[in-house]
Amino acid sequence: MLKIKNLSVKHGQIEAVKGVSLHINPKEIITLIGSNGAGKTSLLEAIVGLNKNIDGEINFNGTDIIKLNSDQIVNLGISLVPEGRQIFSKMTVSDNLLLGAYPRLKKEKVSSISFDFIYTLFPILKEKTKLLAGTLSGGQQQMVAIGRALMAKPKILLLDEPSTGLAPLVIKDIFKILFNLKEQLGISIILVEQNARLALEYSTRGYVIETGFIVSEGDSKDLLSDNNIVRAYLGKNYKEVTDK
Amino acid sequence: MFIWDTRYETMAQEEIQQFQLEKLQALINRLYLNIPYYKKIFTERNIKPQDIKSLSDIKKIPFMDKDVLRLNQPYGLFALPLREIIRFHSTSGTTGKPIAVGYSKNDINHWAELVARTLNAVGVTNNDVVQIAFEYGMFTGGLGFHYGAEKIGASIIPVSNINPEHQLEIMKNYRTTVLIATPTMALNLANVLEKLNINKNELSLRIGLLGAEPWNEEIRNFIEEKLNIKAYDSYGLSEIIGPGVAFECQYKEGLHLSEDYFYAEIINPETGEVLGEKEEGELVLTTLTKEAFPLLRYRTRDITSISKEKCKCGRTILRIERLKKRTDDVIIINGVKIYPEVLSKIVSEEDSLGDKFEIKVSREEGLDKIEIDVEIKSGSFANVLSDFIKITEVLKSKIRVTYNIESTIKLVESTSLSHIKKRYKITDLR
Repeated sequence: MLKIKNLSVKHGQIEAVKGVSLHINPKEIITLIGSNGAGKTSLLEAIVGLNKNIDGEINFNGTDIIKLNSDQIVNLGISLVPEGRQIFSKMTVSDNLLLGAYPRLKKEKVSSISFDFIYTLFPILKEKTKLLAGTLSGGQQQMVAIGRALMAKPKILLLDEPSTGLAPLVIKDIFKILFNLKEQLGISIILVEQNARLALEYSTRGYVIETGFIVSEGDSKDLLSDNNIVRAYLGKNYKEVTDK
Repeated sequence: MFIWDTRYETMAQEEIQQFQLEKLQALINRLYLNIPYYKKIFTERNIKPQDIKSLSDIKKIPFMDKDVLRLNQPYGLFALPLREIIRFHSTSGTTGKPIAVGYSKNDINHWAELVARTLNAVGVTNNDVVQIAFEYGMFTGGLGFHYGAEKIGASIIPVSNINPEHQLEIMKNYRTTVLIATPTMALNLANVLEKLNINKNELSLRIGLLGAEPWNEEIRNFIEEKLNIKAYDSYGLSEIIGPGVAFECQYKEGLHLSEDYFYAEIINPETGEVLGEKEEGELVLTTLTKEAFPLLRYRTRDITSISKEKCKCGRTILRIERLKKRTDDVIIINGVKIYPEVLSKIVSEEDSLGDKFEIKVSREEGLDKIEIDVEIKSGSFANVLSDFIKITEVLKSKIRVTYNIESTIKLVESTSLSHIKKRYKITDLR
C-alpha cells in the first residue's frame, strides 16, 4: 500500500537517507533498525512530508505523495507519532486528542467527533480525560500521542521510538496495543525502535539501515537469527555472541 | 493444487518487482561495503550502489563467471565471517579446482524452503516415503533435497547414489513413493527392473523428481512408462544454492523460478546484451537473499528463455523453459559432466597423437556411450598393432581415472579429421 523507491533525504547539505526503497503491505507491521544517525527519523519525516528536501518516489495506494504537504498526507491516511511524544502538556487529554482530529474538521463538526474508540483502546485515558496531559505518566503520555495520531483515522501509522523512557512492562503494553491496532483495525505500522528485538517480535519484516543505506531486509525471524544484526543492534546476549 | 508458500509464489508481478528492487539494493549496499571484489568492480566502472535505481539498472554491473569465483577462492567472495558459516558444499570441479560455497543458518533454512516448494509443487506431502538417490556429501543434491523433504515432513530414505540393484531392493522394502535422482539413475532402475523381471506395479513409486543433468521429453516419457510414475524436472546449481532454484509444477509447462530469492536475466552469450521475454539465451542469476555466498549476475552457462505468463497452477513467478543446452561444450554422460578441454589435455599428453579428435555420444538401452576418435600423427607409428592397443589403453585409463567412466577409443588416419575446424567436434546422437 506504501511503496518507496530510491528515496533520498537531505538536511541542508547532508544526505541522511541515500536511495532507500521499501514497502509496507496492508495489515503489516515493519521495523526499521539502525544505530543513531542512520537516517530512520529522517525517513519517517520524509514520508509524512515534514522534510521537503527529498528526491525519489513515494507512492501511497497509487497516489504519488512526494510533492504533497503534511496535512494532505495526513488526510490520505498516514499519521506520525513523533519521537519524544510531543504532546501539549498544558492542554487536557481530550484537547490533545481533538487536535489529532484536525484534518477531519473540514467535513465534521467538533461536537460530532467521538473519542470512544480511543478510550476503548486506552481505558485509562477516559478516566484522565479532563486532566492536563503533562500530569500523566510517561506510558499514559505515549498513549495520548498514539491516540492523537489515531484520531485522524490513519491507514498507516508511523511510530518513532515509542518506548523511549518507558518501563519494560509499559513498553510491552504499548506493543500489545499496536499489535491489536493491526489485527482489529487493519492499520499498518512502521516502527522505528531502539528496542529492536521486541519490535521485531511484533513485526512481520524489518529493514536494517546503516548510514542512510538499507543493507539488509527480511522476515523478522530471519533478522532475529542473523548474528551480525544481533551483535550490532539487538544488544542482548552480546557476550554470548561475540565470545563464540 | 499444491503451492507451498502462496504468499510468495503467487505475488502480483508489480509486487515482485518492488520486492526484488529492495532486496537487490540492500544486497549491493552490503556487498559494496563488505567485499573488496565488488568495491573494485564498481569503482572500475565508475558506479555507486545508489546508481542502481531500478531492476533494469542491474545491467550497469559486470557479470561474474566461474573464473571470478575461482580467482577468489576459497573465501574471497564470502559476505560473512567464517564463524557465521554453518555448512560448506562445493561444485564438482571437473574443469579445475572445485569452488567452495558456504551457507549461514538463514541460508540453510531458505534453501530448505526452496526445496520444499520444489517437492510440494509436484504433490509430495508428509505422507510420502522419499528415497534420495543423489550423492550425499559435498554435492548439493543429496543434503539439499534432504532438508527440503524434512521441512515437508516426508519420510526420508537417505540412500545416496548406491547401485541401482540395491536402490530397487530398498524401494520395494520401504514402499518408496517418491524417487529423487538423476534421470540416468531412473533409467538404470528401469533397466534393472526389466533385467530382474520385476513388474513395475510391484513398486509403490508414484513420483520421480529428476535433475542435475539435462534430459528431454523422450527420456521423460520412457521413464514414466517404464517405472509407472510421473517424472518432473527441477533446476539448481551449487554456485547459486543447489537444488530448488527452479522447479516444475504438475502442468509441466516450464520451471517456476522463485523470484523472491533470485533475480533472473537472459542474455546473449556473445554480446552480453539483456534479452526480452521468450527470447533464448544464457541464464544469469543474482541471489537476492543469500547471506554467506551471494552472487551478482552470475553466468550459469545454461541456455533457456523466460516466460512471465501466469501458469495454470496459479503461480505468478516467472518460468524458465526446460534446459537443453549450455554455452560451453560440456557433455553429460550418465550424469557425469565431461569437459572436452579436459579430454583435449589428455590427448595432447600423448606425443604420437595428432591435433584433432571427435567425440561421439550415443545411447543404448537408456545408457550413454562415449566414443572418441583421435587422429594419429603421421609417421609416429610403425603401424604396429601393439602400439595402437597400448595408446588406446592409456587414453581409456586416463579417462577412467578422471571421470570414472568407460569409453571407446578409436585411432584414425592423420588427416581424416581435417574437416573439423576446432580442435574437437562433438557428435551427440542421443
